[in-house]
Amino acid sequence: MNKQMQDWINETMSGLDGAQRASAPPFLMTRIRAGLAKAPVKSAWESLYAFVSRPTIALAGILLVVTVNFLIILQKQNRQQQDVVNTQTEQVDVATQYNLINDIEYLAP
Amino acid sequence: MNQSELISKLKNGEAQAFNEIVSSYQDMIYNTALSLLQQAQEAEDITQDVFIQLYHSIQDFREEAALSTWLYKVTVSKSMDALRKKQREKRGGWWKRLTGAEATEEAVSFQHPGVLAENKEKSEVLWKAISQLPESQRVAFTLQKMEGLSMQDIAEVMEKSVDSVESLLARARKNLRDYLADYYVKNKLS
Repeated sequence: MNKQMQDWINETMSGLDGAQRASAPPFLMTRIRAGLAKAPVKSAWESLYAFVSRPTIALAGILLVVTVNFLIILQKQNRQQQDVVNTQTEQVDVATQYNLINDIEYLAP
Repeated sequence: MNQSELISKLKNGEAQAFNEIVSSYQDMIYNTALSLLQQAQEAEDITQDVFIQLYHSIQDFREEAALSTWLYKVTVSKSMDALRKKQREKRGGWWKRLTGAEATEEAVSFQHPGVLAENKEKSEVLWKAISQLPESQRVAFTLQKMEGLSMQDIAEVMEKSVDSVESLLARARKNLRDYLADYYVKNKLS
């Protein structure tokens, strides 16, 4: 970066030094009064609807529903696998208890 | 009349208190919105909306923070919402452009009415650079430059720590210098 460019950047960066506040336009109060007369107070349901219908909130809601569904399916699958294991264990237990192990082995293909 | 007196009178529905609040804070709100949006009509709409919101939600206002901090927060939030909406519309404008329904929008240069006459030209380039900053850097830089807020005040308005604000401002200045260097290469050297 050459000196000329550096000087120009420094000058531009100070372009807002000493700036005054912009004044609000005249008749703002009249506009506010008109706005107050026009705008009805939102009910709690309207506010809730406005909040829920924001794109970010709606998207987050959809993601949450999808995640919860995915977790439920995953949990169900695990439970089913556990049930199969339990049933097999119970069968072996019963077979052992009644000395049917040989029969099971005999019956097995 | 001090702030808490004004607020309690407004809570009691006294119109005079509302008038006083509007006349005390209108320039502060308008200037903040104008500096963030760089568009006079939108800044006027935001100023109006902020006071309407204040009127409707004054009963819920607890004096934990200064009224000015609350007003800054609402103004910044509404201005950023308006900017995001504008950006979404711009991004969604490709279909309109494709179908020829709307001509391509050109970046409009902005002149702040409070800028010193000798700085008009420089500030115009700086405003363009500011409009390229990421949202939080733009807010922090604008509040410091145009409203003269301290780090502590900016931190309260933005609900961030003073350290975060310092870092935001340092990154904003660096990004602005980078933008200006590019601008210089493209416009001053060619």
